[in-house]
Amino acid sequence: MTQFLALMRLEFSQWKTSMNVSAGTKQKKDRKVSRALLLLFLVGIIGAYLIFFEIKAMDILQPLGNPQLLLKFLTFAGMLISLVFGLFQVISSLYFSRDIAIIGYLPVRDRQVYAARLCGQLLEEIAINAVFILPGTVIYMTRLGFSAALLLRALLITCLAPVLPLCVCALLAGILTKIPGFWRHRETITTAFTIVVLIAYIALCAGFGGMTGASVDDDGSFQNMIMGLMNTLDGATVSMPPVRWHAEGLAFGGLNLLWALLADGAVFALAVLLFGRDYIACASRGLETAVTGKKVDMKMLRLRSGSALAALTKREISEMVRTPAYLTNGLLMSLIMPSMMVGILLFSLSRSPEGIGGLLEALDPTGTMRVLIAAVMTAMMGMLLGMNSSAATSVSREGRRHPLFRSLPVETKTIVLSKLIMGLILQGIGLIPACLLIAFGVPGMAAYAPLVLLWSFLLSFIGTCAGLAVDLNKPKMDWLNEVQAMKSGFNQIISLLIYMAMLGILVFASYLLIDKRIVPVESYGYALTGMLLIFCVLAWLWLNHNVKYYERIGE
Amino acid sequence: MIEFINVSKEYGKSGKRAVDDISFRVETGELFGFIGPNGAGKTTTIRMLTGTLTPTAGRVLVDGIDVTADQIAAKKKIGFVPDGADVFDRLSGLEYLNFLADMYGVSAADRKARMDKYLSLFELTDAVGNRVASYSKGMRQKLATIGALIHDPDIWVMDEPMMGLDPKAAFILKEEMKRQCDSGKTVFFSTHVLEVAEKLCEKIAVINQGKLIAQGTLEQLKSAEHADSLEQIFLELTDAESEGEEA
Repeated sequence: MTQFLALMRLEFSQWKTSMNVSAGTKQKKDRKVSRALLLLFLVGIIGAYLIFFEIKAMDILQPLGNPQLLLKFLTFAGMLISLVFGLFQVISSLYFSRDIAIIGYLPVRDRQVYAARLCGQLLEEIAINAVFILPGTVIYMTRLGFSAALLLRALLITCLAPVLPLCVCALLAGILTKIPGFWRHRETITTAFTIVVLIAYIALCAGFGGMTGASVDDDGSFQNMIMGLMNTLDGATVSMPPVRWHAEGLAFGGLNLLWALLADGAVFALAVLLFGRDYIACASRGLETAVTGKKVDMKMLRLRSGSALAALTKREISEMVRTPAYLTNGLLMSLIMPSMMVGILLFSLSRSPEGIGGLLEALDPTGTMRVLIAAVMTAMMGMLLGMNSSAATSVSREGRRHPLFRSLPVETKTIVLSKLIMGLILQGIGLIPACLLIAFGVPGMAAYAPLVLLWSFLLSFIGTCAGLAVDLNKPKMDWLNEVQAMKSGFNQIISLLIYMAMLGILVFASYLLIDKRIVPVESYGYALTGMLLIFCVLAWLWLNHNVKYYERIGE
Repeated sequence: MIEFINVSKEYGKSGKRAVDDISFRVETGELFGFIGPNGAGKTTTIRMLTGTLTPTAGRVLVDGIDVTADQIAAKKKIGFVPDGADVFDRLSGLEYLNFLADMYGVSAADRKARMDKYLSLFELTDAVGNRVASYSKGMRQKLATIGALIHDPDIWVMDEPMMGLDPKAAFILKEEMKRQCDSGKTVFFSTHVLEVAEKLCEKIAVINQGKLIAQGTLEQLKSAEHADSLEQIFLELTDAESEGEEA
């Protein structure tokens, strides 16, 4: 037990360090305070969206006599997110972490190490679940009265909800490691597996939208969405009793809580029992690297020289596409999601009796509103672009190789520029098919598709500059595995929130411009381009200002 | 030629000096060994020489070029083998060497010739098409060494270059270091392996707790410290320094 607790402390310390919450010098503390305030402000904006959703949901569910559905839904959502987004993290932390080389030599049982690792992962997922469950519970209590029992249940379920999905991830990961040839092709297999799971998740989410064809824009369609979610939730909870035990455990307590607790304990024990037995030997295989590549015939080899910027950019791209953790955490959003989103939208609209053309004709008979439709599509793609964390971690990803970069005879600006170009190229590649879909899939939008591409690209530029600027300011260079490089620390959260705040300003400004008739609809395109260019200049200036921090890394 | 003039380096606001007012000079064509116990300031000194860290005070000159004032020109003169040979895992050996050649503006013909020469010398030709991630520690060290020589630098700087190398590779490296010096290049390296420094170096500097506590040829150090071997000199110097600190 002492050893297990020591391992848990190690996990907790590593998590604390990765989240930059440890103490430091006064100057560092001041910076931490300012970053915490910024984070608080930005989280407040996102929190406001979430709370808005929860309040609106309560407005609908309470008159229907089923306010508990909100609590059930939030539990379900938290568990689903832990299942989908925790998968790659669990695989990486269990089987691809470098520190197993040290822990492997310690006189501890494999199962203790395995259990401590799993508990370490739980810490992060509990934090995510808390964001979902706790505010919803508070809103629920503001409507139906304070209940200490409910609050306690909320805290308990926040801790329990990620156990089941994470253990399922651990079981899946354990099974994957037993596939013949897994260790030789582990990166390809893990990447393919994660992509399949993510696509399944997107399809499931599209199912929610497809069921209702709705957004939260108006009360009627919002009500449809809530009803759709209710049906989906009922189906999910009936077919998956452990999910029901958690959801209903929060909403009603009683025996459901006990069942939830037992289910979590059982699946945790099962994972530890099955895959903890020879864990250290298995995870140590992650330190061995299979030989990849082919033999080079030096006599036949023809080499070409190129510029430093091109070489740096090529290296950035190679690293991004060859590292599964970077590919799945950073690139997937920008490469696949824009096309998938447009595709799903067009598919949903084409199922309506009027078809896409008919809907557009009804919405905009004169054709003057097409520019607004283009702007809305840009905003939707912009949301997805903002979720790509590749820019906000591009300096951090250098890790221990940073001194090698610094020894190169190139200007710091060139190194930063290569990271910017990498982000823009990869996001640009994702935008082109999405815009082609708009051009050829939406009647009358062909002329506006290049505009969507231009605006989306400008948004991509702003997001990439902002992400880089944030990461230059305080990169996280000491990571144990590549997932940590991509996911730990606050940089990607801060840059995402800044980006979302910028999107919010653009949307609000657009609303004012059109609603107050400051700009005629026909000229709105110019106004939006102008606003985007202003943000581009600001983001570029910010990035240039922060380039100097690159030279201070390690000082 | 390398010259450190009253160079100090402080980390953070604590005022703690990792390197404290060191001055020394390495002449062109010299093989210079930089030795010291763990945490003495060797890597910090090398990082200031390679432009990775900026000195808090003093100047570092490379062939007369101030590393802080004209980093790019100074860096072009240096070939650097970092501590631990942390190179890019996701690139193949060939891609890594090409990357460095592009960084230093090496022509296609020159890089081909140097790759042929050094890959064959360090017996890495068969593995050069493989990803660096699949390399052993010694292979990474060899690749980093070849990478540092790809632009035929005037000054070759290595941080613990013998780490991970097998005896044969270590021998080849030592021979290459001598050969580079014979052809008029300067070699500067840090090491814990005192025998290597003793056998190879024309001049040696000893650093402890950030301060340069001795420098000169092996004979000068022996006569100054009345010692028979570099090991004895090293232990006497570093122990005396530590005792002085404690007193």
